[in-house]
Amino acid sequence: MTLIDRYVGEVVRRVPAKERDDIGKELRATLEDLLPLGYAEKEERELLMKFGDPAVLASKYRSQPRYLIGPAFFDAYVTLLKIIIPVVVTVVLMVLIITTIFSSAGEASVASVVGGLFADGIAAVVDTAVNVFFWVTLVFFIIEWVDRTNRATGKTPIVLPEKGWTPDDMASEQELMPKNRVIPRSEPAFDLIWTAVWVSVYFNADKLIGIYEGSASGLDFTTPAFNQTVLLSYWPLVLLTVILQIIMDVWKWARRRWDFRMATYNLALQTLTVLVFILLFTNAEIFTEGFILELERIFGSADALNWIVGGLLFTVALFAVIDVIQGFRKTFMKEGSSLKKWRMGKGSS
Amino acid sequence: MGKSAMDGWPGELRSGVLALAVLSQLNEPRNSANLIRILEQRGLLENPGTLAPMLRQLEKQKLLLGDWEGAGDRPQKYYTLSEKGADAFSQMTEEWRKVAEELQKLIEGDGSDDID
Repeated sequence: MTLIDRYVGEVVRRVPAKERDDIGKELRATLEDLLPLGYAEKEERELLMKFGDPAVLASKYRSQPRYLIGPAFFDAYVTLLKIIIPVVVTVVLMVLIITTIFSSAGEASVASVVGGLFADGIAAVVDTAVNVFFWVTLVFFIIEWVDRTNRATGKTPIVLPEKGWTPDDMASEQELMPKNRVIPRSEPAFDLIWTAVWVSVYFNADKLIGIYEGSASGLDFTTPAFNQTVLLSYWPLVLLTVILQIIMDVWKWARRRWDFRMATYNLALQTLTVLVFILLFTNAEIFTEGFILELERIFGSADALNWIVGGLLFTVALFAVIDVIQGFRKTFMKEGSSLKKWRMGKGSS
Repeated sequence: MGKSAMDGWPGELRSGVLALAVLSQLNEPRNSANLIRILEQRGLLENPGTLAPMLRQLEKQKLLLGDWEGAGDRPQKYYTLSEKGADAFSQMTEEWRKVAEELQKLIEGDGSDDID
């Protein structure tokens, strides 16, 4: 076997099978013709050195690029993944939380439900992300493949429905602003999940919240704290709050920055939420008699209940106030000095 | 030229116009070794390994006609311009002339560089 034989062999094993014979024949003819008759191995070596690495040479024969998704579609692919994965993950988590709380309420202790939910949640997030990634990639791979076939057979290539770039497509001034004015997408996503938790607990309060007692089989739910009928009589109000909260989250997700209108809406929403809590918990009838009796037995008096309710209302109100203040603070940070400063800094540079 | 950002440029420039150089030589049948010798002599071919894949590509695009001649031990493949190839060649030549002409003006400066 001569050096040329081996070189040609190295090249053709890296090219598509159906072209192997032709390419080998052409390459061999070229190489042999470039060598003088009765050449020595030294000349053969020099020639092959000039032709270079057979793997590199073989890659020049490949008309099919070696990527899954080409430059024509890659941007759209990444953009779509960035939108779809967070949305789907949020929705899946919400559904998971709601279904878990509804289906396991009254059958297991809060601790085991929360623990199970945590594990299931992580698994669901990973599973969903991998699935979405796979399917979106597959769809784009098919688009790429169809496009390649079209180009090869001279048909018109696929053009994504975009209008082409114009100066209007540049990120707006607000989008280019420092990151701390922007609402991260994770914030409304987390809000929605949190809302799902509250709603699920609200509808299952009599099976979840109350007194647990240790027994041989673990914790047993003995006395529900809430009178579910009374609690549920407030449902129109609760539903209204939840819908307004969802609107807020969608708004935050889409707009991604605070402005005066959003901060005002937030003020109204947080006020309503606190009022609903106060209204619910100042109605003495929402607690079951058994629960109050149990508390008296354990703590000596029903005063403990007042402390718990007071603490809860105080915490809810505190968080609401902080949230409202944050909204207005970020609004005025944006429209006030920092934007001017940012503009001036840009002008002077 | 020392080690600079433009180190790869001579090679890139030549590979950009290689197809034009190849087409220009195929009014009469030539084989690839023949083409390699012509182009190397004129310093237009950095790496002889790039020619065979290019010929194959041009043949696939039906710009060239390839013909095997001579049986036995050392058959050779001869390439000539097809009709489509001749069209492509005249278009490419036209394009090249424009680019070369304008570049030349830019480099030398023909007095119109203060239009701004």
